[in-house]
Amino acid sequence: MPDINLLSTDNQESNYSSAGAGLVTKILGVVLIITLLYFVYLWFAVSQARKELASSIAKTSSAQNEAINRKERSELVTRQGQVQSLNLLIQNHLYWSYILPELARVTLRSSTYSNVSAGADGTLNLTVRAVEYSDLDQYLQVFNLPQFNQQFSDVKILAVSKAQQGSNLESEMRLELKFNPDFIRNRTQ
Amino acid sequence: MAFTSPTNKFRTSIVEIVATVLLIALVFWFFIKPKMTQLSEVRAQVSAQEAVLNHVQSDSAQLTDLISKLQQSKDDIALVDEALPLDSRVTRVHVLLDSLVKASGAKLGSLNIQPGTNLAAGNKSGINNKFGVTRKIQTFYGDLTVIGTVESFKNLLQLIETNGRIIDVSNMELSSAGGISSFKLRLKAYSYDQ
Repeated sequence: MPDINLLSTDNQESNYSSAGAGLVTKILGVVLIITLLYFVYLWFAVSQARKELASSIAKTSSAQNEAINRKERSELVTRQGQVQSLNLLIQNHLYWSYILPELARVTLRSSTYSNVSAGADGTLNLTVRAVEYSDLDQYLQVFNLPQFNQQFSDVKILAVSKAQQGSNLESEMRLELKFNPDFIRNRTQ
Repeated sequence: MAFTSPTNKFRTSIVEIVATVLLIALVFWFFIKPKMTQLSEVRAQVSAQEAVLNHVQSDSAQLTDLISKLQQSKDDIALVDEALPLDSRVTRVHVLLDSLVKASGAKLGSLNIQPGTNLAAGNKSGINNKFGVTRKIQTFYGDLTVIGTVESFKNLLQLIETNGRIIDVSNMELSSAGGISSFKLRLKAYSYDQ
């Protein structure tokens, strides 16, 4: 009697497919477990990072407080402000002693000053005396020469008159002119 | 004995596969991804905070260095204190200008300096906490009149410019009458006080 195969060949294929599907299911199960383990790792990593952050914040705060509370710090801050203020004052300091020799350099021997008034804004008021009007005229001409008008300019006559000087009658002229304030600034003595 | 046909088994497996894939996707989407984002954010915060900490530590080291230099610069500090004192005792300016006028060879005509509003002495809280107060430049305005020669006046100007304390001349006036020359200076002296 011949053997009769009661199982169809399809069923064998189904067995193979079923086994393959089971394998895939197992692999996916492993993937799921790995995923869950990765989540646990992430949870710990976040927790660890938060601890690090808290520690870093605490260290920063501690370092800041330590620096702020150093007793020498207030003196240092005061001294820094003092030196900065001093530098500012030195930058704007004017050396007036330079103006008189320069004024003398541009003044003719025939003229004298009875009044000199100078302001830090570069304004100079002079009262010049000379024997004759012609001397005063020559005095003014000097300011047109480039070698003499480097520091002085814009000479304006306010008044010209005759004034008694002892027993002599002298010519007198009041002037307003400008000088270069930078000429007396930032000078090294 | 229960018998499960291979087809049913296969179907069950497919359902399991789909369910597992779905579960993995859901776990990833609702748990892993937010946690990854969270981790990334916290690590960025840690990194930023570390940078702040490094900066603070660097500043702290610089502070230590500056304090050390300050403690080693007593002579320089004395010069700074002379140039711009920390107190508003205006009489020190009087004493200084009087000595400068004498040294210049001129004669003091008058000296008026506005004292300002700050305490000149006896400020107990200031004495005990000298560096614990906020300070700024205080200006004293004054007028100085001297009598002498042009040369002595020039000397005086040079002495004012070169002495240890900063004194600015904002206006100067020379006048000569009857053989006597008088010089008037508008002055500014300073302190670094409250």
